[in-house]
Amino acid sequence: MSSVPAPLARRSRRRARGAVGTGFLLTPGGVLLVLFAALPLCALLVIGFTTDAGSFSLQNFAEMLGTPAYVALLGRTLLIAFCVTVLSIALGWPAAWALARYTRAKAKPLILGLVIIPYITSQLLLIYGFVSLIQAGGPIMSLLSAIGLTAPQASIMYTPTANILMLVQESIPTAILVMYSASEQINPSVLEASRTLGAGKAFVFTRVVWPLSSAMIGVNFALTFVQTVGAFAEPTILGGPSGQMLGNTISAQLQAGVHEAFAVAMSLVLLLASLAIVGAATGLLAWSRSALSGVSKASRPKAESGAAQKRLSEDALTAEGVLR
Amino acid sequence: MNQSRSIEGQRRRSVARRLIGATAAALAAAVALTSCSLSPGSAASDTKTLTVAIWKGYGADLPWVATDFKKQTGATLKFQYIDSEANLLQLVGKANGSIDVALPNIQYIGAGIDQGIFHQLDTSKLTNYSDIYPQFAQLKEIRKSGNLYGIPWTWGSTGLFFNKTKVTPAPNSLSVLWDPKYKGQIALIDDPTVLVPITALYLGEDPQNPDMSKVTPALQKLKDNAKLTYSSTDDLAKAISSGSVVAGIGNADAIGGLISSGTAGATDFSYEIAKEGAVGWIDNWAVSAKTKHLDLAYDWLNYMTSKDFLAKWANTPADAAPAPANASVVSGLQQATLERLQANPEKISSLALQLPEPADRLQSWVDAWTKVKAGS
Repeated sequence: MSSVPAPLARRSRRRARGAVGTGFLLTPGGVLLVLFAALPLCALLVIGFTTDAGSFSLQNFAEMLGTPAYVALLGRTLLIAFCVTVLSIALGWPAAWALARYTRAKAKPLILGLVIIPYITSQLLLIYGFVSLIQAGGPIMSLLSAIGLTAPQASIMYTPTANILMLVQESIPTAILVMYSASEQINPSVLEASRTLGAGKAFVFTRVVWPLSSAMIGVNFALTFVQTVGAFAEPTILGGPSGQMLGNTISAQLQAGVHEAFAVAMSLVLLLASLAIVGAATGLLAWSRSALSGVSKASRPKAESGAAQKRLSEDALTAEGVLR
Repeated sequence: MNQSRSIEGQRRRSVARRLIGATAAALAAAVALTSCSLSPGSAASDTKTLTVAIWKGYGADLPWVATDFKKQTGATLKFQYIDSEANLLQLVGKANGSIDVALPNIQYIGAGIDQGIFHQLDTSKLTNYSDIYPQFAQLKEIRKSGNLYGIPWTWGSTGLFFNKTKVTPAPNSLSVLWDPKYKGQIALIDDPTVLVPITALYLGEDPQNPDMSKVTPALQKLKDNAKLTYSSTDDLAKAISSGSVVAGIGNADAIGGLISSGTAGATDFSYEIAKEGAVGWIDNWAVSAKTKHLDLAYDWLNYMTSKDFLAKWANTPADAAPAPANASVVSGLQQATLERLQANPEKISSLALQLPEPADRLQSWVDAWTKVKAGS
């Protein structure tokens, strides 16, 4: 019993070392973030609110939000990103579920590897691969025209549809990877318990699977939406004259080399609108989680105190480990 | 040439994925550029080294050029590659004499002259000056107070191209681009500084300062007729080889390259400066105001504008030379070469040169095109 103070002292030393270690781990990433994300963002804010003459002004924002063509384009861009995100999750989730639950353990790494391949492939290669598949006279159009479905020149290339398909295709690996980890986290005994208690498939999905997966759906939504909303390579190459997104307009404005502040203002509006949508989607998912999982508000404090208890017991375990 | 270079640049930029990321990177690059300059005199220690600021792969850095120039002058060459015209002005301005010669475009040289970064040229030392097309040599854009600051080297145009087998009879007017007969089969270069002047030429407006209230509706009609807008020659090549496009607006050198390289489907195509004209550009050699090798710089200008260099460059199809600005060189070229280079001197007078435009006017062009494109 006389040894009690000693481990406590050791523990505090350990904590101090932990703080240094944490600082060491955080510094490179933190410095990079401040240098290349926070500072440019500040610069964007300053530039966006400045006129060409150099005085503070809301003129750039008024110009963007006062032009119906740009507002419509913003709306269309957000809608495309939203649809692409929802579609990719809807397509990726069943595959991820099957991969997590019904695939032999030996086959999993191979399939996951195949899913990752588009990730490590250059984005332009993916786009041009898609182009050579769908373009007029390409394999798909040749096949469709051979069986008499359509004319060989009636390709979806250079239309908004081609752009959306490409964006969905690019987003599916993310959806499969994220939803795979969500599906793996669900304890099979929970599913079995709900089934033995008489829940139907739909009920299991809405009341058990959805609430347990909704946090990862939120992660997936944020990742894919943010990536898609700023797309401009895809609409440039595939979208045709009427399939442009706001990213194209911003890049065109920057390349013109005049009135760059207007491009900056447009990207700030896009950034804010995207944050709002991601925030709303995440909030909606959190609400659906508590509404559907049956965890009532009254029972929450109990759960929290439970967590606190758990933490205490964990601390005790650590202390025990140190004592030994 | 600067057109296709900037298109390559656009493509490189379009690889960047996220908008914010790209903007942040651009800002970081701007900060980096302004905070560090080339160390003064780093290249100047060797009196026999000439530093040339130019686009990569644009004639001057061909392997035999260094050999020939060394044979003539004993000097070695060093290249400082640029990625935009604005970048060229910035580099020469900050180099403090470590860049000797540069190749500014007619649209940008004026800004450089006003900044005082270029050396006034003595025409008596320019051995090929009298052979340069007078329409180019007399341009006020390469002069200040009557003094010469740049010698025209190459020129080119952006105009009409079409499929000879599908667009019959062969068009000689830009109106074919607005023809409903070819709706959904037109390719447009995605650049308002080309499309606005082209539309102005079609309407008979002044291509340097058109009435935008007339140009904008015509641009809308042009877009409605188009199958695609492209930013890289590669994208155009795909549209041509898939048969999606029968006519459009493109760079003479890009189209010429597609035709001479035998790109699938491109051999049926032809480039033409239409009767209304085309958009034109001129690249000019200029000497840095702070050069420490003035005589060597003149040697370089004389070699670059000489028959020795220009004719050899023009006669090697793989090197994709544009049209030379030296009239006596052009008169010595074969007809087939003239066609490949689109170097027909008769067309020079119908060029609407891309000149420096006031920022407001340029913005109104960009606005008109982006609004037309943003609408569905």
